[in-house]
Amino acid sequence: MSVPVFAVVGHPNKGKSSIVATLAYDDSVMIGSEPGTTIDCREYPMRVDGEVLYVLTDTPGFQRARKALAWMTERETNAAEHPDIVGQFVSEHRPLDDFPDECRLLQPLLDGAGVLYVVDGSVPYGPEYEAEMKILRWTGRPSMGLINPIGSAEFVESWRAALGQYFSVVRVFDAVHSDFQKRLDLLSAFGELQESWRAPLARAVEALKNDRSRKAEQSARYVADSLVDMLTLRIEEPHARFESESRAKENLLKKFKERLSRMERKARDRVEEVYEQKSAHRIETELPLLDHDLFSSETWKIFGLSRIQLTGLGAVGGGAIGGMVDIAAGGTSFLLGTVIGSATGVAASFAAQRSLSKVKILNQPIAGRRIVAEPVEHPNFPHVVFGRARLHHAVVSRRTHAQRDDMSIDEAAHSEISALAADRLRRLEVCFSKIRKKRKIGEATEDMIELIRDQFTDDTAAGGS
Amino acid sequence: MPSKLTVLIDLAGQLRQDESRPLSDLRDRDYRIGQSCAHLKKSPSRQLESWLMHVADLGDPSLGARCSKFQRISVVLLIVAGIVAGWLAARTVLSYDGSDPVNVVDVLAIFLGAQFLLLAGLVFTMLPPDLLQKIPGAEGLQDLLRSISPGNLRTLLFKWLPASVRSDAADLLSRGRYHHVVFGRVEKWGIIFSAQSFAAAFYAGALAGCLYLIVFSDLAFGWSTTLEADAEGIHQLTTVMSSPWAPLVPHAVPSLHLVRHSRHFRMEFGPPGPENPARDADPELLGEWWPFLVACMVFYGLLPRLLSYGVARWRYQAALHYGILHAPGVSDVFDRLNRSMVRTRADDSVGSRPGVSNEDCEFPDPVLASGQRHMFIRWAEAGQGADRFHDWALAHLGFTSGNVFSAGGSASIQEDEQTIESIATAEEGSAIFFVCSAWEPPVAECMDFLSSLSSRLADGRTIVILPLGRSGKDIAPPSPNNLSQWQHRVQQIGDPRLVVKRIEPEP
Repeated sequence: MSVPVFAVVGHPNKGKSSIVATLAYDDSVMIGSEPGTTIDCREYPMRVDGEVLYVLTDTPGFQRARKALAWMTERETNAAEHPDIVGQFVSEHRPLDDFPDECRLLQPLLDGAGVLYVVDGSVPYGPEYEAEMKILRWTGRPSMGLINPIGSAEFVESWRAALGQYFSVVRVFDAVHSDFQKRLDLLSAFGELQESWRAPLARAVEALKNDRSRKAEQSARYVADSLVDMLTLRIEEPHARFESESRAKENLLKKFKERLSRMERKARDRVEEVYEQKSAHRIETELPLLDHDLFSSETWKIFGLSRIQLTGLGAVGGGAIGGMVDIAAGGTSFLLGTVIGSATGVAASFAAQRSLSKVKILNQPIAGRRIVAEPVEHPNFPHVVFGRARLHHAVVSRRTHAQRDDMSIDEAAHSEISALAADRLRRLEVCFSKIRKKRKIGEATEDMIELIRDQFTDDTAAGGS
Repeated sequence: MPSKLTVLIDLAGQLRQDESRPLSDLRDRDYRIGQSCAHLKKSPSRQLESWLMHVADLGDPSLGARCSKFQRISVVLLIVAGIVAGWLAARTVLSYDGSDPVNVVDVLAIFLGAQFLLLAGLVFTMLPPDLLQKIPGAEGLQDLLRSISPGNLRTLLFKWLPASVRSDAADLLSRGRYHHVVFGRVEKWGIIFSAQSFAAAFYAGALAGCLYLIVFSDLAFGWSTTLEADAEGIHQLTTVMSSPWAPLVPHAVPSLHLVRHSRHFRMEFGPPGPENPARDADPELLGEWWPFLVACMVFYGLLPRLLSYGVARWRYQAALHYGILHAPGVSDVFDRLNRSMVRTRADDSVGSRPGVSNEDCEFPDPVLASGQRHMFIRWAEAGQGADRFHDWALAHLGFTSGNVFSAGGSASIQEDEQTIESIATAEEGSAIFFVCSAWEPPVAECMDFLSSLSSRLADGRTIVILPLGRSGKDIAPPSPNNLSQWQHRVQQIGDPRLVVKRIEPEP
């Protein structure tokens, strides 16, 4: 059985390459505002374990459609011969090179590809498109009209009416802003163009869904690993007696913060690689949220928890430990453990909110004077890191490969992320608490990966709804 | 086959190298390896070892191999040290100059009493962290016990390693601290394993020393205590102690006669008699304690240590195995080896050309005298209806439109040619305005038309291309991007007769 091939054709500069970039998850597709950016056909095979399930072919746009149609019409005898005439056109004109773009874009259709005819729904319908649509109809291939509203959707309805006369299926697909589900829906619709294409397209959709879940899990793993590293980071260095203590502390704290930022950046780079968004330029210095230093007060306010929330979580953590005392005492403590634990947790939360990392000088009998930056104890810290990671992941995972602007993470993006559910927040706090205490870190990390993966999946899905 | 320690260290090194490589490269590389070792899917550790053999480029010998060698050497040195220490201890405890017999109680206290204390400490050290957390102060005590363990001698030996190996290993270990769940377990059982190697060797050395003295010298044993203890009680105790080997070696169980006649008092005054039986005992009888002592050292000294050595070795190997399968980054490797590979990207990276930057070019606006009549060509029905267009041109351009022609769009190629013919033969105004929709790209067909028109004009008339934008249903100035695509395309043609004019926004 032959592999389904879909040729993305149309007028120049109407978003053909954008559609290909989005559906092929390929940021190497050249997309330009200048017409004629695509000068040759380029194939994007979708493979699962090496097996090709379908192929998308990006093509150059029509340049001399009326002239080509005129040539074909001159040779028309009856409708049954239309595909042959198109074939004749290509074989006669390819050596002459007078219709280079038409020959290139029609060749895949003559080889059996389906037609995906792309128009821009943000500009009015024009009579110059009719010749193109007529030629495509002459090929006799299964076809679909795709309205890609580049910007506004002002003329979508008039396009729908026009395309409906030439194509049996007409769909609207915003290549730049479509979410993952819409991309899958479109692929499923391709499968409806021809009976034999349905099964491979269904398999492709399933494989892409699995791959998507895997990406969320991989990203969750990178973020969880970075959280563990950041929460347990401790730097110890020798300290010379002649060096000023305050300066040494200041330098070490600076180094400590740099290491934390580096760990965070490393996780972000990997998440972008997971979603194959490596070429997107991440803006980290100009925009108000992610650009802010991890420790700026604004970041704490936006991503962290309020003092009241922190106090509540402190009570949860302390209470849980106290509760264990109650259980161990067989209930004879009349839940005193829980009460004391809660109170301790509250006190610890307040105390820890004051500082980020304790830097101290140690005098060790053998090792000599050492300066140490202890792991961050601030209860808000992991929540800030996680909040930032969520925002970054949401932006990366929702971004299509047709988007070529800078990847900015602004307040609008932040507002798209809902607050963490109370249950997840509590479970996350338990994980953070275990990691801080270096108890069952492996187990806590696994729990955290699961939680983060679920949250990432929800965040991405929420962006599409 | 490499040892587990070699695999763990080389794995950690390889995973660290991979951190700086692009994920796409790792995906391709590991997918290929995964295909070649798909039969090992059900044996993760073997699959990982196979993966490591495929990818590792860690030098020859690798850091892992060098550390393993160091580990083996350090264990051998500890064993030698244990044998020597045991031998010396036996020589000291069993030293006999013929004056006082060797006190059996001393031998038992040193070789068995201390053993019980050390074994208790060992069991405490082996307790899992989860259990320790529930016992107040237990973690501190465990740390203390671990710090005084002879297994720490490895740390001293570590300093003898070449500087490069030491620095690489320290680097990996410091990184491992973040993942101490994995590496901490290996470290703990590594120390215990080394300590048990030493301890087992100590008892082997002590036993050897003891046998040497028994064979090559005449030893006299007695028992002595300040406490009130009668021979029957001691005999009962030795009988209980001998119960593990009594059925196998019955003569290694001290008889009541031996116990009764080997009690020794250090004070030498007083006549020999029932109060000081060792004084008149047969010297041969006093030597009969040795089978019992040797059996005690074997059953209560050497065998428990061999057992603890076995357990420590088993747990150490298990920790290494756990470390290999849970090292940071390993789950990613398994994921890449075993999951389906979905690829949607193009295989090549050619076929496109970069867009032209609009920022570097400037296009001067043509200067046209107002108040004249000019011919207009509406390409693909650009602009509004012909009547309204006439009014618009006058209002916005200051020109009166003469003849307005249509070309492109729904017009046929023949109609386009007729339009060119009509314009070429007519002489109206100093310019011909070519009106087009700015948002539509200048396709080759349009450029062919302009070139053809230009070549047919015999006079000096200019063809002014006027891309129109839109604002709702009204004509508006084109967007900079749309205007620029026309300007660039016209520039590419290089015909001086063709110029692009921008409509100025209304004041």
